[in-house]
Amino acid sequence: MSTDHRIDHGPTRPSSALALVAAVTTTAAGVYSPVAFAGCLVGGLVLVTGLAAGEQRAVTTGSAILVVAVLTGGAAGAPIVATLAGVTGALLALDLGSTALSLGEQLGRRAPTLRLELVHATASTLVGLGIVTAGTAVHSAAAEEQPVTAVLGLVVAAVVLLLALRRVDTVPD
Amino acid sequence: MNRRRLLLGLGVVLFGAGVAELVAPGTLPVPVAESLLTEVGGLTLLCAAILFLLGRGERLRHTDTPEVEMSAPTVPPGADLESVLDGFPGPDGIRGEEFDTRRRRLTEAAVTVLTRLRGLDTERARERVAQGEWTDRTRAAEYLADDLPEPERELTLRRLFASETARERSRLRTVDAIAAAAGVESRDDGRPRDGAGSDGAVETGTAGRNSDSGYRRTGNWAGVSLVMLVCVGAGLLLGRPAVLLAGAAGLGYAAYARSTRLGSVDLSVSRSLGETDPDPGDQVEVTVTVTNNGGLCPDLRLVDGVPASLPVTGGSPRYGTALRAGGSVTFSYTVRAAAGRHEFGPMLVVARNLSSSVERERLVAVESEIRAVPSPEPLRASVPLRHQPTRYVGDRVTDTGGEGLGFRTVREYKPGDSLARIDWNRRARTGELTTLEFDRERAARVVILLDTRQSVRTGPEPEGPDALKRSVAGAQRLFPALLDDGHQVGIAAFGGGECYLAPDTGTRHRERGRELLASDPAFQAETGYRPRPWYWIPRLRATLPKDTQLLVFSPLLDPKTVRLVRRLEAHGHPTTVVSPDPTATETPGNRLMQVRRRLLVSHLRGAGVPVLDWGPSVSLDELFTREVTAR
Repeated sequence: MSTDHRIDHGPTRPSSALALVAAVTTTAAGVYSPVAFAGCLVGGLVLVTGLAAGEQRAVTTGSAILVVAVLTGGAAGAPIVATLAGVTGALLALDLGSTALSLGEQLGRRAPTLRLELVHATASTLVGLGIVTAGTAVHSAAAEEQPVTAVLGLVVAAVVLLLALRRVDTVPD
Repeated sequence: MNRRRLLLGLGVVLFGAGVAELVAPGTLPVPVAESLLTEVGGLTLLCAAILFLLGRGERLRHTDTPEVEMSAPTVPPGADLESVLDGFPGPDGIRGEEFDTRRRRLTEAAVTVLTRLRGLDTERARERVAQGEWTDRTRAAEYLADDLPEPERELTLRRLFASETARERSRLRTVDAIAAAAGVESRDDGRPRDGAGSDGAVETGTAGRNSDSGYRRTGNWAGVSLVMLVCVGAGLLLGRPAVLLAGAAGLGYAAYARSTRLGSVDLSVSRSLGETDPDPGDQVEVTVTVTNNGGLCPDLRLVDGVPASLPVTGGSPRYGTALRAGGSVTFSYTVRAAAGRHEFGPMLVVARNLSSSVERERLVAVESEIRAVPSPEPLRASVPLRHQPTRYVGDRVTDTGGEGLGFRTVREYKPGDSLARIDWNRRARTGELTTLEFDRERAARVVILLDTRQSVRTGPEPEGPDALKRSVAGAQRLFPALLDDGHQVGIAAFGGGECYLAPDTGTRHRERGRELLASDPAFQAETGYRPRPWYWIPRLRATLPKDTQLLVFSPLLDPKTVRLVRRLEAHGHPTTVVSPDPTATETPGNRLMQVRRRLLVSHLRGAGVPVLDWGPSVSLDELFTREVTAR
């Protein structure tokens, strides 16, 4: 290693690789619609570019494209589970990509970071699996013809919960 | 807080009701029209748009870590053009007059260069500058000329609308022309070199950071709530359950981001060094063990406080890991020891919670020190000391005859001459009584005085040594060489009496001098040692013994130093200056600084003080040999 130049601050490799796996999963969930699939490919490409260049903006944009593409697929008639899994995968790719970037910036590529990355990736993936499982369960438990009241109640509940969560501070007082 | 609880309670109740209605339709006696779905969907999308606009400027943030692997880059002097001009000598004296406008100061600098380096007299030089004849660079000549006839000052649009930057450009061109008139040209077309030094100051150590930054949001999951709102809004508008349910992903991750907390981080760090007193250049292995005394830390980013003066040559002083309660982790790296004393800084710990949404930066103090005392080979070349007899026998040949080893002359016997010096052979041959005269050899008393001020920590190459390091290395070699020659040698630093070794001889003195040069804070690069202002000068003069000559190591960057040397010389201390040249030719400021130093050196030489200009690629031996043969 040269002693007089900065270390390599590129995104760390394990998290970058895992982010790619998540993006590929999302793309696989987009096969139901050609438009969605094409969108997923574009999003994945932007994500890869961002990871290669160490550019957070590109990683965020890539993930956003993935989300929109999967939702397009959902609107065009993709199964509920595929859509949910696709959006979860896109968010997971965003998280893992951002982690790779911040670790690269803070610790560089040479520093041993595998354990940290695996713990983080495992936790995020487990949460994602939980989300998909819970979503599928709610969907299958629901009656064939959902009453408008129920749907509306759930939606409003979700929005209210989200607003409540936005006020939760992870920072202790 | 209460509003949050209210919202949470409401949300849970609504959610329960929704699920109940879903499983058993008709539980809730509230009839809702289909059209309401569309309206709520539209509202949600509107909400998402507002959130997006509000959060657009928000970016992901993370604590920046210092570049501990690098050793601090050396910068050439003259970064600030104004301050270079401030200390620029005038045409008639070492101190230029003070002018308020930049143009006047540049005019004065040009006149100084013409008089002192081109040999014009002041009047003639002023005339040439005023008429724009001093340089063939039109812009510069134009900028300083004030008496050009009106038509020649072409009134162009460019001139009318000359902006501040355009004026700044012609100012820099003028500085360049002045430097060129003094014979200082840029080596590489003025393009700044790539390298660490070119883009501003780089933090190379952990010292001086906040010891606890408090909690900070990283924004790692910012945007997931937006995904949820978009899914819900679009799902309701389009009437697609798949899109609607995808919002669960956003909701789930938003909850995850908020629900994991970052507890208090309680780490203890120990650092062990392979060797605490290596030789300069040795590789030293540093092993760091971090133990978690608190609860689980899922995300720890550690950066060890490598001394800013030491480069890391192997491994990484950074480590990222998760630590369970009571767990510990060990990592190691190697640094290359440089001469001097190097203190390690505290360890920088950036802790995050499991979801990475919050981080906290802390410094964990752990003290270690590397002390590399060089064992320099004494200088082989003879030291060009000034003539100065003392009472002590030594090898400094004086101009007076007397006792000694080298034959000088024979003279008539005078009563009182030692019997041992009578030429008995001649007495036996001729009967005359004569006395042999030898060269009197006397020791000199020398104090090596080093300029250690912050301003001398400059050098031409980013990776090369600065003037202070070169001075200290030079003194390390000079000190034993002078002792070997039988002189009494002492050491002092600019800035007061804290660092002073009185002139003496002997083995213990030699060792003490070596230690002092290797470890006194005055000679260390990173201790932030700031000498007091100039009231230490009378103190130094009072401390120096009579008939001591001085060997000053100074890059001679400012007029103050030159005046100090002249004062010491006038006070009866014959002085020789060894001046490591730290100047470069990269920027106009650098070049003007080189001109300024050249003027100061020639001024000092003119005052009868020998100055040995020590170029960056010349060894001290070569420098001294050249000087001795020139005399």
